[in-house]
Amino acid sequence: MASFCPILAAAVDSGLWTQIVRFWSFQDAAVRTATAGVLLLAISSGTLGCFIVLRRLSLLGDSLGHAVLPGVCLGFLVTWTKDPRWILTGALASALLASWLIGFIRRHSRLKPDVIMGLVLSGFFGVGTVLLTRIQNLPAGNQSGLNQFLFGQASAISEQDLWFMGAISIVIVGGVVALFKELVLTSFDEGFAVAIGLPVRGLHYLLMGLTALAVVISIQAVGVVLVSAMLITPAAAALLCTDRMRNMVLLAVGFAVVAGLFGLNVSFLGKTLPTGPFIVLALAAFFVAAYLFSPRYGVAIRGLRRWRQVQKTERENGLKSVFLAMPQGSPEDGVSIARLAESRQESAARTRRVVRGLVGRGWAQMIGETVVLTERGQTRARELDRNYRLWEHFLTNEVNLPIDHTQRDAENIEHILGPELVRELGAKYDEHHA
Amino acid sequence: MPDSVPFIPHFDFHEHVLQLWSGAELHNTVVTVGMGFLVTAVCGWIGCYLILQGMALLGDAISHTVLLGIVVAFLVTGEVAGVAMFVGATLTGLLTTVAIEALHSTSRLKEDAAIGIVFTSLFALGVVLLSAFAGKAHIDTQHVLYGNLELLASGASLSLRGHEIPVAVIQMAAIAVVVSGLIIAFYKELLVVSFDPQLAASLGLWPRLIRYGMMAVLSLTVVGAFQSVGAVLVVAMLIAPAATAYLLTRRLPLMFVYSTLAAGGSSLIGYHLAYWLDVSAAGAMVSVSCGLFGLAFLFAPEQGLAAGALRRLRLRMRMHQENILRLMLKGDSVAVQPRIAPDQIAAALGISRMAAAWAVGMLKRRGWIEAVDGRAENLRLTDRGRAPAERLDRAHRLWETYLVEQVGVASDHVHPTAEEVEHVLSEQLVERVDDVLGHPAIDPHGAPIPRSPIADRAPGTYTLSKLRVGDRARIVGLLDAPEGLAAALTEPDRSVIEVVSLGLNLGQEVQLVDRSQEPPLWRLELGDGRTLDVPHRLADLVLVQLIGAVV
Repeated sequence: MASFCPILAAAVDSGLWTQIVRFWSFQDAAVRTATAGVLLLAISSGTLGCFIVLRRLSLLGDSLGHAVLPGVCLGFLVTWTKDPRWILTGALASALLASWLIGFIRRHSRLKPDVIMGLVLSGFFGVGTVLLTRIQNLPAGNQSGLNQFLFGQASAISEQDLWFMGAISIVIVGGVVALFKELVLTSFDEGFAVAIGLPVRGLHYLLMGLTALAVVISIQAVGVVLVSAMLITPAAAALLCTDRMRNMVLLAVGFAVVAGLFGLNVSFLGKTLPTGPFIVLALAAFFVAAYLFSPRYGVAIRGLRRWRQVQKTERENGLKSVFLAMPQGSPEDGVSIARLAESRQESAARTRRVVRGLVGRGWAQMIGETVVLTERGQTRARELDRNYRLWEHFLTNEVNLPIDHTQRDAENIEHILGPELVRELGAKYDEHHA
Repeated sequence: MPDSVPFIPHFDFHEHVLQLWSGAELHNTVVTVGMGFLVTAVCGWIGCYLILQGMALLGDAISHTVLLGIVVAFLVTGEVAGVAMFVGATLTGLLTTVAIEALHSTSRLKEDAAIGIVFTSLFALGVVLLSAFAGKAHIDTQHVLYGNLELLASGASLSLRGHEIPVAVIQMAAIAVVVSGLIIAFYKELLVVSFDPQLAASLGLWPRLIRYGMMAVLSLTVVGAFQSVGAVLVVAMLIAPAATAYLLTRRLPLMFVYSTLAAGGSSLIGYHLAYWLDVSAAGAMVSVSCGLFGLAFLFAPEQGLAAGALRRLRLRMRMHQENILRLMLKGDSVAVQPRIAPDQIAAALGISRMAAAWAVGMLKRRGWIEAVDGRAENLRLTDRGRAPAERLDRAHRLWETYLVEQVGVASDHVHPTAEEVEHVLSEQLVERVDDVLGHPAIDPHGAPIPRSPIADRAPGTYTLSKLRVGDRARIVGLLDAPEGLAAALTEPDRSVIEVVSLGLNLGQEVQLVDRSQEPPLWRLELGDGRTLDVPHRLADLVLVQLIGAVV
């Protein structure tokens, strides 16, 4: 095996492989705690993120993320240890203050919301920096480990942290599940929600509060700077994959969990590497994959679909041109490549390529230099011809286009008319056509 | 608190301020404050445009992602300086802009989500690369976020006329020159793009190109500032001074001035704060910057919270005074010797005694009400106070009439609205409503509507249209046609001719006997027993002196 895969071989040599095995066997208590923590925060943020993205509150998550820093530092100052009770309380208070301040400034000035969020985000972070550096410059705060909150260090999650994270996760997920219907409704049609008497404002504040909670439990593992990605990216990736809210939530949670475990694993291998950036990179990979290859909305998939349609159109136009160039009455005689190229007004090489496509499809055969349509090819060609004529009829009779304007539209549409529509058009025009 | 060092050290003006501006510390101070000022000022100028164009978050995103460009440039060239770093960072800035635009134009994601995804991903990539090669890059991952302004003076420097000036400061100064040069050169274009993007597009200014150009300049600035203030704090410098200026003025040139002043103030105060507390200088500068914004938010002369509260308070006080006037006017019409005490006023209007006492004091000072025999509980309306009181009463009653007759509101529903509207209706609007209603004499509740005399004329002068049935009056003249109208007329004023041809003469005594005709006609009985019908339009023009009023 080593000879096939040098990188893997090096990994095995350096003990990387054993490390990976050690991580995934969960034999260390620290790994178990960290994994449980990451799972909890992934589930919470994945769930909540869907609503955040749908309501265009993405940047609120970012603001709250940065804004918890002063609260974390003040929480630390209470006992001069990383006591999760105080750290989480401080962080939550800070996040709630920030979200209140955003709303307050918004109501009382002509500044736009994005400016206010940027201001609160960086202002809180500035104050947080002052507190953080003050603590670190003091002898007692030197080894505080507070800087782990900047980019996240999942291995620093303690068992005590885990209890708090678990309780908060239950509040978040429970809240969303209990109010799922109401939250979905207000996210998609606020006017209707107001009309049927839902407390839309209350739900908004609830969502903000839950977001603050989600941010608070994520900072230990993901860090204050990147915590918004935990909310936005999995939900955005899920949004590109499905149209159903329930599926979106499940997908987002799935993405967040897998990315969380990946980031944790890498951080575990690197010992001192921060967890947050790796989790975010894994999330970004999911997002890129969804952006490109989501069955319904993927950019690459849509491109491929378009390309296939173009191919199909070209092929069927080729088939039709062969069909029309064949001598009437004796289709088995076929038509020569040279004549076909002449009627198609293109080079023989190009024509040959088109014909090759038809042969590959089983619509035509090459006998020497002569193209002969197979039974199937003739059937399909007649079908296309019929579609074309039916649509031409429709355009002249119903849409009242002049006869000399119908050709181009009909030529394009004959490839995409479904069987049902053809049946309907046929029933309409066949008798008087005949 | 496990330490002997206090968390907040003792502040000593001499040690923490004066000493820094003399001797050995001077150089360090000038360099650090200068750099802080340069960064904040340049960011502030760009920030003004970011705020006006609604691109604050794009600025936020770019200041994060530029890290990736710096790290990649380092991996390629092996140094954290030089042209490569600027090129790398500018390219990442543009990449960020393009990626965000592409994401939200080709997928169903909204712009905010697109920004959030792009900047966190690229920033995470930068941090990962950096932490993988951290040992060699001399960039601490922590300082990526908030920079290290303190180390500035000990970094590489150039000697200029005997002064050691750090390279970073020279770079930043050069960037400042470039940015200000660009702003001056493209001032007009940027102005149009900021305030009217459609106009800019139709003028062929390519708002998109200007946008990209701005993002490139922004990236350049962020790189220059990066090692000193870091990726997150630079966001504050982009937004806070500009937002402060935005609250202080509505003029762009002044915005630049104010944001520059805010930059100077925050770097100076922030430096001393940082020295005193022994904290990150950039963090302290940003905190001060946001503090200055807070001050502007609270105390800006026009848009501040305090100014708004003061305006509302003034309006409330004026409303109290006006309500008292009307209350006393009402008392006048029912009692022979109306007297009212401040406590009664407070109870009747449902306001606190203090507010009532204050409003009464104001009214007394204006001479609109007085205390009879110097006794505070015997308040009554003065003759001078009667005019404003009637004006208010008139506004109130006319508005009620308008709501009932023209809007079709039920007459028992109109009082509350009129109660509020009476304070804000302008005189012209009241007169217009009066005219549209055909100068009614009573309101929907049957109470008389006070007449409004013509200003600048002898007391008791009205237009003919304001007479009530039974009133006797003397014709004293014609109302001047509005100036603009008079100038526009080339032929002799036709209305005047019409009035004269009615047969009314100056000094003639008339009595209004009927107003019930439709369309409205003012039927006058002339002295000699003849009657004369005056249409509404002409009744508005004839001035009369009231000699015998019915009400």
